[in-house]
Amino acid sequence: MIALIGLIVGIVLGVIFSPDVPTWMDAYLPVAVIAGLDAVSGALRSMLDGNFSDRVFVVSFVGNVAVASALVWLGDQLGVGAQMSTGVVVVLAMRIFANAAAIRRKVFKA
Amino acid sequence: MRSHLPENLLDRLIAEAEDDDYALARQEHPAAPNARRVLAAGAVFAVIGLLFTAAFWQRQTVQPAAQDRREALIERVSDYSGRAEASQQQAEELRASVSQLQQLASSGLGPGFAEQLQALEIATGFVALKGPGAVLSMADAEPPLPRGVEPDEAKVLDIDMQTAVNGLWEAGAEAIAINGIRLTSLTAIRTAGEAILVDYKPLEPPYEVVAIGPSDLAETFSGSDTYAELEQLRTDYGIQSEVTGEDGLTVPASTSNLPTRAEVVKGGVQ
Repeated sequence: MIALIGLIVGIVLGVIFSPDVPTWMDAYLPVAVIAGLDAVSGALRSMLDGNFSDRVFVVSFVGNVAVASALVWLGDQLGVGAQMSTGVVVVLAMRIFANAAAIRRKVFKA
Repeated sequence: MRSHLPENLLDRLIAEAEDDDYALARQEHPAAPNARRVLAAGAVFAVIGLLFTAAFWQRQTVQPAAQDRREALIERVSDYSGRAEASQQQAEELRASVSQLQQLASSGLGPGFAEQLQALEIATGFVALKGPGAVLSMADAEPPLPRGVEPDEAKVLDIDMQTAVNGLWEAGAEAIAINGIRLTSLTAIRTAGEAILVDYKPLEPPYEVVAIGPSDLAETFSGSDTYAELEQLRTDYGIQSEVTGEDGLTVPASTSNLPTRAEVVKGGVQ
């Protein structure tokens, strides 16, 4: 419940302020969005499993975004920023797939 | 925790990706939710929602902005080139009337002055000229190219054009125009990208060099070292060149700017 409300509040805030993303954030925004998708899919899965924990949710999201952004930043400094964000996106996408598969198994029993 | 992880990197990545953080946390220390943490979770969800919309907005707004700028630039470029063309035409017209006025004025300035002025005008490319002479046409090689020649090499280069023009001057040409652009002592023949620039204007192949001079200009040029060089270009690279003698040729006046900062040294004539 709190999840849905939070999401809606965020989207509404975004629509109202239509924030101008500063250019230095260009490289990190897509990575952060994918990390967000990963966190949401993980949360959905755990809710269906009945073991959602807000502590794990907050810590894992903040941690993942921080690590992913740090990796991309480091990659930028080393001149492999694009490849690094590809790597981060691949790993996060794999987690999203795993979560989606778990949700699918729960919901459709298949 | 997993007792066994596959050796293969990809398998291992996939296996680790399937680790369920929530299940692991529940095993280690099950915690009852408390109000503060629930609020934190709600805030994080809000942040994620904000991220989604921010990314969406960025995609929607930034791309068209770049497109806009591009189109505006293209518009400005064509606008300015149109204006440049118009200005050039105006310059040509003005120059023609200046020449007429000068002739009028100089008719009252004593004998010799009018002829001297005209000679200078001819030499500096200030007026259009007509007379006998030669036409040299040059063109990039057409397939089939000679063996071992790349298409890039089978093109007329600025250096070829410079050689040809110098050869024509040497053979006695008095005025030369390339594709309708008059050469003066200030006209550069050079390359920008793929095109040859004459007087900073790009040429379209094929090239036609019109030279006014003695009526045997074509013969003199055909016997010159320069023509031998052009023939060498034909056998080596397939670059086409042909020179014909013609009567009643015309070359236009130069449209380039005359020197405006240079001044004549007083008393230092000849």
